[in-house]
Amino acid sequence: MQLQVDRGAGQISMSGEFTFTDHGPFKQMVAELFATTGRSVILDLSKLDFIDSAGLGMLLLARDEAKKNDRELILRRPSGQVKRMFGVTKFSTLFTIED
Amino acid sequence: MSNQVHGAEAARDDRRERDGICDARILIADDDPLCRQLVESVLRRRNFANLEFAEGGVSALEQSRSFKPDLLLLDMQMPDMSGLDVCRRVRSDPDLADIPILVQTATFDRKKMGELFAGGASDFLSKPVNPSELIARVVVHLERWNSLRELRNYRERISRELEAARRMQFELLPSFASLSESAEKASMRIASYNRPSSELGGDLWGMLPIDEGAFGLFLADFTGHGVNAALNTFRLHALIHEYKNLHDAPAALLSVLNERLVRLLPPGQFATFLYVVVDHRRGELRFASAGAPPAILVQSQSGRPRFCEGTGLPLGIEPGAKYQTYKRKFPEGSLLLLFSDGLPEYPDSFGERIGDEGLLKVLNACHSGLAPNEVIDRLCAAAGITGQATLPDDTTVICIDRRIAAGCAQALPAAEAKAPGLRRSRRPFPRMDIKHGYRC
Repeated sequence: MQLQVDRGAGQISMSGEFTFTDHGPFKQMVAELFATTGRSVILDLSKLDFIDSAGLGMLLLARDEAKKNDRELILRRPSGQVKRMFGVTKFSTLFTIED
Repeated sequence: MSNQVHGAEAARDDRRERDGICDARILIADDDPLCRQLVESVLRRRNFANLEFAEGGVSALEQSRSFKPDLLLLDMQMPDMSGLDVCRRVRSDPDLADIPILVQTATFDRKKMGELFAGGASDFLSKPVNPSELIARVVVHLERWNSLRELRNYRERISRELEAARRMQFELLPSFASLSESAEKASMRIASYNRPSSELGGDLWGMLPIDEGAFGLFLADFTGHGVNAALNTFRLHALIHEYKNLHDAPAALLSVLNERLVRLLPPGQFATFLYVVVDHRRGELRFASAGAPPAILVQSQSGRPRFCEGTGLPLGIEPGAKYQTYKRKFPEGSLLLLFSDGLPEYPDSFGERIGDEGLLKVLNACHSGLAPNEVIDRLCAAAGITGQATLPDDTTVICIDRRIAAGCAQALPAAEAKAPGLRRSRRPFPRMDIKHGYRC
């Protein structure tokens, strides 16, 4: 998985595959997330090709952190397998998902 | 000053006592009796009591094998066999390959020293012996040897315990007997495949008897694998059996399991769960899904495989999550496939995954004459899972087949004829083969 952080826009773009091997980059991502200012943090998933259950678990951890810090976490434009995964797992009811 | 030194030495002695170094077996090999006595007196003064002596190279070698020393003090020059030769031979014995060998030598020839270390010496002591140097080196090497042994023992114990846990987890899965009984009652065939990624897995599946006309089938997959995920499978197994009254009510069962797991699992951990009531009397499936990969259903001998779409939050994330029970027809001639994400998400040698859609295509190409275990074989092969492959994720596949029911009258005698063979091949402690398909 690759990450691109746009602090100004409070947006992080994820690309590639988000799996259990991404724990390190993910923790870095969470840190970056709270280094930005503003109410909401956007995870742009449009270039993310694949997510497994470990990836979903890490999104849940990010959601927990966001709640604790009173920030809103928005998942933007999931597609393909990622979108289908969000459907099957009803993650849409846990996250704000923007198309 | 001298008090301090004395204090430091006392502390060192304490540590030696604690680590049990003084019990260490030490073999002293020297052809010169005076040298042996000197070394002995230095060691005994420091409470090393478990000493043996060899008077030459040959006896040093023999005694190494019989006495099995924890440390060998070896003189370089002995008339019958040189210290270097003893060193090499000791190292070639698997039982002694790792013991510390301290070579005593008067030489400072760099080439000879090089040969010594290449021959397997752990360290050297200059001759004539300096008592402090002797003790210091003996202690360092015994401590190192002790830690190495402890680590090894620890690793062996852990792997034995993991093996025991693996067996226990394997025994959570339906036994051959219960599986064939259910299959026979329902006149269907059932095959399964289950392989953990590491020694312990986070997948669990099982069958729950409901009544003469129906049984329940579940497949759970905890996030992650290893000990943590495996312990969760034990928890879930216990929980499922606590709610027997809900085994006929998929959505309600998932709701209560969710409430329980929400309290048990830390944030970020969850389980996907698929529960299917296979009602063969009515020819119907009733199922609920907690974020599990969709089952695939073929509803007739010539039918096309379709997903049993069902959605729901994985178990253990949100309290109060609601689930829905879906229904599908499951007439004679049908086939049902349940699988954990380890199958569609397995990266083959090109890093490609077959995906849910790919599995659908493979099933579409399977003719109706295939036995359920053959269907599983084809799916695994198409996904790139071979017998030798290490799996990055736990993988479970279950195939239920009502296709034999159509020819039930012919199938039954054949099954009876096979029965003794099946019984013979049954093992009281089933081995977890790389691939074990229960065939009924």
